[in-house]
Amino acid sequence: MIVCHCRVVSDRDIRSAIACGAAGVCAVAETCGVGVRCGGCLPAVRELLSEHGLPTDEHLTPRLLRSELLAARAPAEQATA
Amino acid sequence: MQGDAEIGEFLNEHLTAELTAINQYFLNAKMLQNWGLPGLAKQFRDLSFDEMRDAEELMDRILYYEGHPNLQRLDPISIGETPLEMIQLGLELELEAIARLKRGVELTVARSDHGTRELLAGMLVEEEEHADRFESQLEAIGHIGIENYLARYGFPEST
Repeated sequence: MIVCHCRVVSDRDIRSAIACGAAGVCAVAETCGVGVRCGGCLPAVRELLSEHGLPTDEHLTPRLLRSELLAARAPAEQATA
Repeated sequence: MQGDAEIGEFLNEHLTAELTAINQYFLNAKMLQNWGLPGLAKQFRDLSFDEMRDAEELMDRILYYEGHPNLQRLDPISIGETPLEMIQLGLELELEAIARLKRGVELTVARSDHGTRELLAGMLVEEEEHADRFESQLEAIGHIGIENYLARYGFPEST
């Protein structure tokens, strides 16, 4: 089933990310690119995380996710600059 | 006429579900069309229009009760990646609608709002018909296999 329509990501892709170690909304967003535009997929992402006993990070909105992902990338970019 | 607040909220809750169903079924139809299954595409397109009619009736009822129909709110749509998954997710959607409408009918009976009860009961019967059709399709697929079942839908006139 397509879960994220903005990036066209399936529930299988998200399960795969979780199986590979993505342990929260931020990690899934980083791996799959979901949750950072309309946010319509976030309930489904949280449910999939919850199924695996992982935190659902209810406080994270698309806007906050974008900031967090940007912040996570920034130190790496500074290192290569 | 002023309506009961809880009934008003229920009508908007079901309206949200109907608007979601409109989109889910319409996208299903377009994807199926693109996949060369016009017969099955027509089924989903017709379902989308059925839900549109339901949405209109709900809006009329909400406005009659001097409420405001919420056209902004949508639930997440469940879009299958294969025709089989679309049928399965369609059945899930209909079963949820049936459960919700039963709850609505019970609420309207409790409030003696028999006009709304009549409206919701009619919708309930229609959703049961939708569910029945999806269930029959899944049964047939179980008997003859998905490829055999989809073969009939390669032609526009078969439904």
